Amino acid sequence: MTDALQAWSFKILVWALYVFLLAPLVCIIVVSFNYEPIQSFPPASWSLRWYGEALRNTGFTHGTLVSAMVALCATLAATPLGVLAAIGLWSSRSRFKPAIEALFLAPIVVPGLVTGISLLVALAAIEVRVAPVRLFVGHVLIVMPYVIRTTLASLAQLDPALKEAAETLGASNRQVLMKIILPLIRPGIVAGMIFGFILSFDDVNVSLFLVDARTTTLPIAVMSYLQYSFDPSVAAISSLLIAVTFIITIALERSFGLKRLFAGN
Amino acid sequence: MAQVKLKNVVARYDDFFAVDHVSLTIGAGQFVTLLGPSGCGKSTTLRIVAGLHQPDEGVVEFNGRDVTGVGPAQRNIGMVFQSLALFPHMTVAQNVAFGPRMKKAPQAEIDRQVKRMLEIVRLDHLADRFPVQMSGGQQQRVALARALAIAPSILILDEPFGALDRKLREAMQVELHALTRQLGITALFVTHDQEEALMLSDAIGVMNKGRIEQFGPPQEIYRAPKTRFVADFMGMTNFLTGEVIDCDASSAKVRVGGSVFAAPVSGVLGRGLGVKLAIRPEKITVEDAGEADAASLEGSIRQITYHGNASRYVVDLPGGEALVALQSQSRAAELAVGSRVRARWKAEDISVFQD
Repeated sequence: MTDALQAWSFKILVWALYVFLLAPLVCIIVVSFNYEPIQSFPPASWSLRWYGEALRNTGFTHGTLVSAMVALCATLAATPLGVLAAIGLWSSRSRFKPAIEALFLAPIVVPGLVTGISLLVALAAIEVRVAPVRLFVGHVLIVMPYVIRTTLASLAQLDPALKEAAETLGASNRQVLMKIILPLIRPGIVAGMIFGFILSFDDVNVSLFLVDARTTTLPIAVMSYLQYSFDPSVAAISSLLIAVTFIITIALERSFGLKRLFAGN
Repeated sequence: MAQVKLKNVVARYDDFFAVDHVSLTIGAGQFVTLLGPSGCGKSTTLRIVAGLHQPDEGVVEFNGRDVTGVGPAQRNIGMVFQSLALFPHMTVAQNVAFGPRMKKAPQAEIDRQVKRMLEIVRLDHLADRFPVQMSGGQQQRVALARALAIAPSILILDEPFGALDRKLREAMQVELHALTRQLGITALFVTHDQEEALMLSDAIGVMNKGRIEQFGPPQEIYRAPKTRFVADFMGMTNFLTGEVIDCDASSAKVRVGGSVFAAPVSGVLGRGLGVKLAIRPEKITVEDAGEADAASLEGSIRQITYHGNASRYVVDLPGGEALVALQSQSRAAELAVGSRVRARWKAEDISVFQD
């Protein structure tokens, strides 16, 4: 009896959690099909006009392009750095290893606002005032800790004897890295890249201080648009993002198996 | 196949000597086992031979060439790890081919070698499987084939059978014995299992606290242990405290409690010297206490356990010591816990160690 009660209350809790997480998303998708120029729920009449509005809004389209480019470049730059840092930490026997690891992961803990302001000031001090470069540097800092963390998690599951076995069979350090370690930790690296890319694409806090009038990321473009108008074009662009994320997730699940990616192996 | 020599090798962790001035020669084609309890330094010694651990002092030689500073990749060794360390992302054939590939052998040569190795370990039909798809025994054989595929100077095995169940372990031991003799491989094996060591080896080095206490053929280690530690480790688990009352060059009379025993010795021991008599449990006969005589000890049975082909008796002696005797069923079938019994043995089954 109590077991059944427990099982049921657990089920209800899990479903409540799903509703809590997903209801706003459903809500915004519904709102995006509104005809009225206000975000009312449920809509009184339906249309696709706000999708047209959103796609005609150069702030949104340009922002999307900037966000995608920044996230892509930052991920591509942060991945080799993060993977090498993780492998270095993994094979290190230094007593400063925990301290160095904490330092590498610090950008996760430091508030984005602080990182943003610090970068703005520091980069200005060395005469870097170009928004794309500033964004790139800031977003490398966003992506890298996640790559390091997921790579370290994958490395922790490696049998150290694998490396030694390869060595005894005549493999050089480079061959051990390329033929044994990298193939085995690839799921961790890919998971870190995806995670980092999404967080970079999504970032407001750090970017807020690094954008300028000509180069603005999508989340900041949406935010500034919301300050003056509250029409459903914001809901439309959000729905498009949800759709794209959904498609990427399905594709990754099909090709890699997402569960495996995030479990490390 | 190479001759491998360790000269005064030392491995230290701060003040602790993991390997304490070990010297050892493994003849070409010889199968040598390092035997000892965990923490005795046998694994570190093996890692020094493999080049995976740099010794703090001493020299490692392969065929007379000093390889002390040479890394594992250049030593040409085949190693079977405790965890096997098969590459999980490669098939069986790719695992076996890894060594020859790293040595830049031509593709045709690699293919031939992989095929030959898999035939030797009878896995040629599973070449395209991944390690996770195989049983423990099969994985073991893949690890062996991978290590042998580079035609190593020496095959090094670090407790490879520890994780297998008893039956499979025995099968693998027989297989390894046949394989190494057939191929004439120089091998260094590490284990804590004395039966395994006795069965596989041409020579055994018994290790304790970083030192080799005794090195010799299995028969010698088993029959004539030189130290108390070796005797204990090789199954001479009864130790009786006694005192030498008479001794010549080949035998001694030793008093234990009220009895006197003759025992073989290899040198003269002084009268009054305190010694330990070591006897294997299976060499002790337990029988009903009859007439007192000087060549046996009387005691009472504390515990009897049944072991299928034998029964094990724990006999309390008057002096507070106890004996363990292992003997076949029929002879002492009527003995029960609490019985007064006599324990006796033959003089030649005793080993004498100075206290």
